[in-house]
Amino acid sequence: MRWFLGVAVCIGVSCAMSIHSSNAETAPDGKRRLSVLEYRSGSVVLPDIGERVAGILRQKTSLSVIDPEDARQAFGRHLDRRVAKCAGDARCIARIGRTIGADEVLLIGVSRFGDDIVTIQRIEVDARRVLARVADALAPGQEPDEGALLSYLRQVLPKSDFIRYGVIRIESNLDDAVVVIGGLERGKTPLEPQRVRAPASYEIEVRSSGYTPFRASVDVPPDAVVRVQTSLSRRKAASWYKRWWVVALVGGAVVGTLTTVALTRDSPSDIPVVIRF
Amino acid sequence: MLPTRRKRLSMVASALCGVMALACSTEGRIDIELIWPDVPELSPVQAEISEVTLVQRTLDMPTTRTVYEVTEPGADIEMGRIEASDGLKLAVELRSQNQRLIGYGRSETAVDVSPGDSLTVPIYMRRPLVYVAGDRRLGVLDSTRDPGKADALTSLSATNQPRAATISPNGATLLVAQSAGAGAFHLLGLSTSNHTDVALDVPLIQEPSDLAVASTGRYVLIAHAGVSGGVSVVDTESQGIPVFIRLGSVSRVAIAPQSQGSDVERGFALVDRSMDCTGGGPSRIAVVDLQSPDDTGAIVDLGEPIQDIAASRDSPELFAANRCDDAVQQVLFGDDIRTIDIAEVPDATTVVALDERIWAVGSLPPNSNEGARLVAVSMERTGADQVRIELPTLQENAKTLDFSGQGDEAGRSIDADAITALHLAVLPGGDSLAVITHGTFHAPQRGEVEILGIPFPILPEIEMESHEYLFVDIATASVVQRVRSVCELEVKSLDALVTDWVCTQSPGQTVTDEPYIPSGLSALFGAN
Repeated sequence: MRWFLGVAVCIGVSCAMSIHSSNAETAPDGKRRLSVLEYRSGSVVLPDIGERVAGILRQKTSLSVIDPEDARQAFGRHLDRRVAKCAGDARCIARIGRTIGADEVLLIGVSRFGDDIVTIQRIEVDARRVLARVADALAPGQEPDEGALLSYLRQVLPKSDFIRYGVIRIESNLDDAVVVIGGLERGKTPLEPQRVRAPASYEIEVRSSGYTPFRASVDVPPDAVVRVQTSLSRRKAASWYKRWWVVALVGGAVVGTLTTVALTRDSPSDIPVVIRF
Repeated sequence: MLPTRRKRLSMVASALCGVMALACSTEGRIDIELIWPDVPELSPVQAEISEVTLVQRTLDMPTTRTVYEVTEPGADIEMGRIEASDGLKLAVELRSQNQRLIGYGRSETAVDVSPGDSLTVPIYMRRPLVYVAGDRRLGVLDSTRDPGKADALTSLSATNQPRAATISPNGATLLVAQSAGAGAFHLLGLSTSNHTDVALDVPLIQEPSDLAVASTGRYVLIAHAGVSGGVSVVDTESQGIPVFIRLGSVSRVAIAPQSQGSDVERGFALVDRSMDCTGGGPSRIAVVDLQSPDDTGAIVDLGEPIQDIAASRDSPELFAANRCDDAVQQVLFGDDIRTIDIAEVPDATTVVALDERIWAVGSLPPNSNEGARLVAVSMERTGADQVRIELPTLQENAKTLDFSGQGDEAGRSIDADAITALHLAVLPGGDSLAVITHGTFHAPQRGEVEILGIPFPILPEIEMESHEYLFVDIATASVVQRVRSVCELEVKSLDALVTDWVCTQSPGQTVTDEPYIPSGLSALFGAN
């Protein structure tokens, strides 16, 4: 008796259970195609949950999201009937996902077992298996809001999906200018486009000896490329007596005098540093 | 015959080179000599080093960081040039390809650099280890290893029931306040190069609860809780009998310079620390003269319970965590000692100071969407430039034994009702932090079935309580390491059908072999 009741508990009473396969935590492609499908069994609550989940994914991740309406257009109008016939079977759902052109399917199930139960399964299309699953029971009259739906998604999708990036592209009129982004030296111009976390603000500095440094602050939105065009201008010209060829000519005239000048001149105020391992 | 044009130019060039050679020979150089531990397990893995960062700090200039990508592991690196100045502090960060901090070291003292100087600055390089006190041995958590790996969590066999630990400012010595057996206690100093060589062994008069070390490494201030408690000041040079000052129950201590740039430091003792905002009495602060402890002044009432204090070796300010006011405060010393709020941190119970920034951890209560969760806030010493990260809700898992068999399990994942940060350490560089938490979890009874007309709940009401160590990556606001040392579960509904429940591991969580309540946390080169 207890065993049977226990099976009933496992199917759908109010507990939140997460099942993760060992592969769920490796970092998959953050821009893979993910299709959101709905499956209902005896419940009419949360009528637009598929669209809501798709909206949250578009807002919070860089995934290429196929919402239920997109999926119907790709598969045909009988998509919902086909999903219902699968009855939650991962291999069957994966075949539908392949037809739609998705890498993964997020199957949102809404059923009634005493309480209304919502389940979310993340299914890998190629492997035709469940990567992660979460289930929760809803008290009568309770509807999960955006925060609750996001917390379900965070349980089935890897953390890396919620980390978003943008690109900063630095263009300069000079080569070999040092580029500093967010306080870190990134290299010299011409510089490869730099991938950074987004949304975020970054302080940018581009500097080169003899030129006035360029400084700017940029806001980088997710999945966007921010171009920063810098034009460094030369500092005021040195006085004639500091020009190199004047020093060279004077130096070339009398070596002995140069030696004295070198010994009595002030040492440079900055000093080279070497790290010895 | 006059020299040709080419020959004249060569003469000019040669003269110029001679001048340059002479000039270079008086230029000076700073050699930073990295000193590695004796034991490979404590040493940063050189083959994994992908990036070297040189951090330069002075009192007057903003901190500068120079990053160098390593192409040839083990080869010397020319890190460019630095401005000659007084009071220069240097640190070296080693990172792997995925930006994980795998090694850190800093100069023991500030260096005065003049133009033309040639200096060698030794820096002890260590892995950014975190030490956890409270168990039979001092726990060592290696933040460079992946969680779950055997070498990520070890213990120091040379220690015995440690109560608190900290590191000397140059990173060379691990100071552990612990049991000496037979009811006695002592301060043990172990080399961080091998975790076995004893550098210091000084008996203590009472059981220790916390300790802090001066920036010179000479003085160690030790807290003793209990009605007859107080502080002990240990002079590590003389290693004589510590001077004990009776103050009452002291749970936290901190050390800071007397004024900006001063070499003279003073200690602070938090007396009558209380976590209770309703029934707890006010906490007090005592200022301890480290050079002449007997001259320690009066203890000042702060007017309300305070949970933690922090100071850094770079500035004289003292900071406090005040959960009753949901605030991080600065303690001002003038004619009166008073506190001012510098940041709002809900349920702030821990605070540390690292370089130019203050870190505090508090918690948020559960709401309709999620359970209780920790919130970490870092800020400048004035409270400006606040960075706030909210961690995911902590969950504990319980499983039932009623129908466990081959491949068949049922469990519940329960969100925290309340989470309290008890100890905090921030790792060098400020990219990660470690926190000891106490959490309570509650799951209501669920489901109902009628048997012979009598309703029975299917799942019982459950209460759980846990102590856990969390290692948090700031950039992703994610918990990358969880070690649970205590989990207690109580089934409240004894008439439920499924009543046999036990704590079980949550995904990504490690569980200690024996239960213990962590009593302290310390990060090598970090702040705690």
